[in-house]
Amino acid sequence: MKWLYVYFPQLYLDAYYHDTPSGQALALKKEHSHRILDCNQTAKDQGVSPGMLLNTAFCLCPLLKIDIWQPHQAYQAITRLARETAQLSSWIALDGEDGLYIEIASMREYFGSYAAIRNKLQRLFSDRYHYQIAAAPTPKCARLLSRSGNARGLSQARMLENLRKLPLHSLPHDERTQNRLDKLGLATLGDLMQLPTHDIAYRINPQLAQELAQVTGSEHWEPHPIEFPEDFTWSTDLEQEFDSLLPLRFPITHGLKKFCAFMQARCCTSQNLTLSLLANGKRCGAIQLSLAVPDSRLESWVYRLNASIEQIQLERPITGFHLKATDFIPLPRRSAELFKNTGKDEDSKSLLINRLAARLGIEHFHFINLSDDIRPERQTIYCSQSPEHAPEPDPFSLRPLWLLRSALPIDIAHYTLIRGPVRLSAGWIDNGKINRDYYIAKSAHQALHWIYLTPERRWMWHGIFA
Amino acid sequence: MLQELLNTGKIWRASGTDSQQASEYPSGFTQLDERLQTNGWPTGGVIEILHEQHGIGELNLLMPLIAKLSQDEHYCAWIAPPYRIQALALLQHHISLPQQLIIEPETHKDLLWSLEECIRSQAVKLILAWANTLRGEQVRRLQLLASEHQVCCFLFLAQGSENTPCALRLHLSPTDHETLQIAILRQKSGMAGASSFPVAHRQVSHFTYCHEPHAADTNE
Repeated sequence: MKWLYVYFPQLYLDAYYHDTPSGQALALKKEHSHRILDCNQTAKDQGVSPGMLLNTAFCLCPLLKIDIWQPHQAYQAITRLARETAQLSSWIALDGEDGLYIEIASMREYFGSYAAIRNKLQRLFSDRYHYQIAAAPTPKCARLLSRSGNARGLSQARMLENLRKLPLHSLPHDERTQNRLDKLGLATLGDLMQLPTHDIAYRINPQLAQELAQVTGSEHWEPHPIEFPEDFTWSTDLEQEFDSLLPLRFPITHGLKKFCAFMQARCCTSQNLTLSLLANGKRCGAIQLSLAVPDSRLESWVYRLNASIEQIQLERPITGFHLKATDFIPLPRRSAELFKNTGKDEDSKSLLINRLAARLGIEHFHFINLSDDIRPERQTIYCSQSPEHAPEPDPFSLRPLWLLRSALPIDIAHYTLIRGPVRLSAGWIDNGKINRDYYIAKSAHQALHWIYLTPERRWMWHGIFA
Repeated sequence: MLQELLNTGKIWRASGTDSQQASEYPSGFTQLDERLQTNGWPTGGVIEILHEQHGIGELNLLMPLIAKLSQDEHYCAWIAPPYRIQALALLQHHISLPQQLIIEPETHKDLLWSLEECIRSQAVKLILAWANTLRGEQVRRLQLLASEHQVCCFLFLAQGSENTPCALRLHLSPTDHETLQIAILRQKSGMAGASSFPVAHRQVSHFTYCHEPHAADTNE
């Protein structure tokens, strides 16, 4: 046995909904999809199943809670498990968002036996995750057995027997190939394994022949190992106890210098750094230093530190601190031209954004973009990052520059209508229905206002053409 | 005494003038450009705009400049805008959205800090800020910084604000809803205090305001 495969059938639910109350029926769906992707046991007990239409699921379980499955969170969950598993093997590979290949042959001598490795894996996952483990001579064979769900503690002979019994749809193939398999009366892997490989390739599908060869080991295939980014850690012990962080500004800045040098040497940046406080070697608190945009320059981090350090009251004296960062992203690519776009503008922009975030708070500055919603209140989107692409204006949707935070009632006698009306009617699908006739009107003081008439014949002031 | 007069902007030093400076930023309004010493907006410095109310076209005067500078990579900072900005209105003036940075400081102190930070950052070329009042020494500090870093800093102030050592100070009042009466109250090394002149800044009849499928009864 050279490979282990661990299949996590409901990893997303285990990772993010572990603490859901036992009576709460919960289901996941992909964005813009109307079908259930996965659901917890409570929902299954009430008849909900993956693949079911949402309407059907709600009929069966009216109190069903639906959440959106986020691909990046699924990737984070499997990567986290891969990172934990890395203590048992140096060759870990991801298989989609719910499986891990683990090479174990090279680690057998260190751990003593395959069973010892398997036991350690089970201890890692048993508290929190549903999983199925299988061991096999090839990674794809281990995968098939693990996902089939009946591979625990099998001998090699039994393992081959089980492999032969697996239905052919366990191997990835298209509908046309399935038709050919049906015509030939082939139903299991055992049926297919009796045929010569070149016949399978010629008569059925060359990819299927290759897949089978990789499962049986007649063709070599190994998954690409995941490469974990390096973590930054730096600790220091203090010679005395400190009951405030202010005197520690310089030692922490020294740590930040090391952190920035670490990033610059690896051409990467980071947005988050954890400052853990230690009392007699034990952790007694943590401060999250976060920037609005990733940065590897010392001045951004020092400014962020200074902005937060004064507001922190220590609960107990500390004798040391520890800096740790785990998430790094590569530096954006820059032009190689000598005199054009050297990246100085981007540097000064990110420095400004980080200083604004540190001093004012991230909620006090923003960029704007345009949404598809025609309701004036929702047409402009506030976002924390500068939009990458500028949208095209709609020449027929004239809008004033200023929009009042909420429309105010007015006396139309003080206005002269100049243009209009334009009827805006939208929002019937999300309980935000509007039905307004908008006019451009001149106020008594020669200001140009955007006003509207409601179906109840009330005039409201909503915007200003500045 | 002398310092006090300098701080309040009641004395202008000839050594502070730069007659070689030519504007890269035409306002887009011929009547205004002709009366400005630099034939357009100053490229660096504080420009105070005094007006009595919003909606008279005070920002229409700046739209060509904002549109021009938004084609650059630098930010245009809107500091403490009095209302919510509509993205579509900016797009209709050909202003690029990714360059628009909106800052909403909670306190007057944070507003001043944001102004200074934006000027110093080298990431911002144009600042539009709304402040009720600014003291002379505060404007003087901003003027020196903006001049040094070549940042165009427009301050929208309420009428009656004290005299300050800014690069340009305009007073706007509406003649009608399409025309502004502009008075140049102060201008660095140029004529100021002369009589006001009209600038037609918009023509409502030219607004593209179509799609009128359900005309409502307007005879209220």
